[in-house]
Amino acid sequence: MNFQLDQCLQGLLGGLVIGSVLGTLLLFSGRVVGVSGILFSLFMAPKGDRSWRLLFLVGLVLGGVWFWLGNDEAMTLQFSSIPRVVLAGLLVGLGTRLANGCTSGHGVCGIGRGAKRSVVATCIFMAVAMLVVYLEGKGAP
Amino acid sequence: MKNMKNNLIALMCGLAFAGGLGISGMLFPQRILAFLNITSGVWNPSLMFVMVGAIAAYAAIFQIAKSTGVSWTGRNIDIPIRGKIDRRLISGAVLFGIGWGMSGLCPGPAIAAVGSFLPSAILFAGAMLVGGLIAGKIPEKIL
Repeated sequence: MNFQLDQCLQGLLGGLVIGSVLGTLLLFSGRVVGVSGILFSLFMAPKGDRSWRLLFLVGLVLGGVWFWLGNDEAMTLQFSSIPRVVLAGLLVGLGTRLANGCTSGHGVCGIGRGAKRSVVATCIFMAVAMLVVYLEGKGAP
Repeated sequence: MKNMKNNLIALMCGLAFAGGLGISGMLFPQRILAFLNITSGVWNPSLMFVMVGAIAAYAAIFQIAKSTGVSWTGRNIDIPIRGKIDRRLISGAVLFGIGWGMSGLCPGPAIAAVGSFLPSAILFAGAMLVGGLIAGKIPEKIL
């Protein structure tokens, strides 16, 4: 087991930030949404209700720019090929849209508000993901 | 002017969200895969701590939102009532689980990864968008 206390504490802190931001979005927009919800509702929302979604996503990308600039280690996506990148991406998009949520949508917001639906969804995608990793025999520390 | 303020708040939320993901280590696909790799000798439990922190924070704010009933922008707080655990939910969760297990990327980190300008990251995000668009076209009768 790779139990590093500092990583877990950072995880807890980061989690508090994540939950607070999602909660702020709830207070702000009135909606229970995670990242996939914001992304996929972007095009369907009426014109006046779009910009906050877009700006959130822009902020997320900009934050990513900042993060990845500051990290020397090259981000290694665990891919061996382009088809694999595409397949994994398609599945994540397909799955989160169908399920109407992702790790932030169901895992945080849904469970956070006590929705049984989200508990079920989260248990399923967690278990499936763990199974996939197990079957593929991958998972770098 | 009000719209400008709202947009600024949204932008800052996006930045802060990326910050939270970054602090927690969740932007590293390897870290996620290490968590998902439960049978290995190098299991990393940090995602569990992230979820605990996130759920706790959100739950607290949710209770506030529920009692207020109205958002800052004047809308009613829109708490979903569709509680159905249906085929769409289950199949979606399964498909998402497969994609996540293959990559260690879920939507949040995937979008932030676009900021790395790595071709594979941009491709992943693009595929994610396409996958979502396809899902939107699947009629409820079929799934």
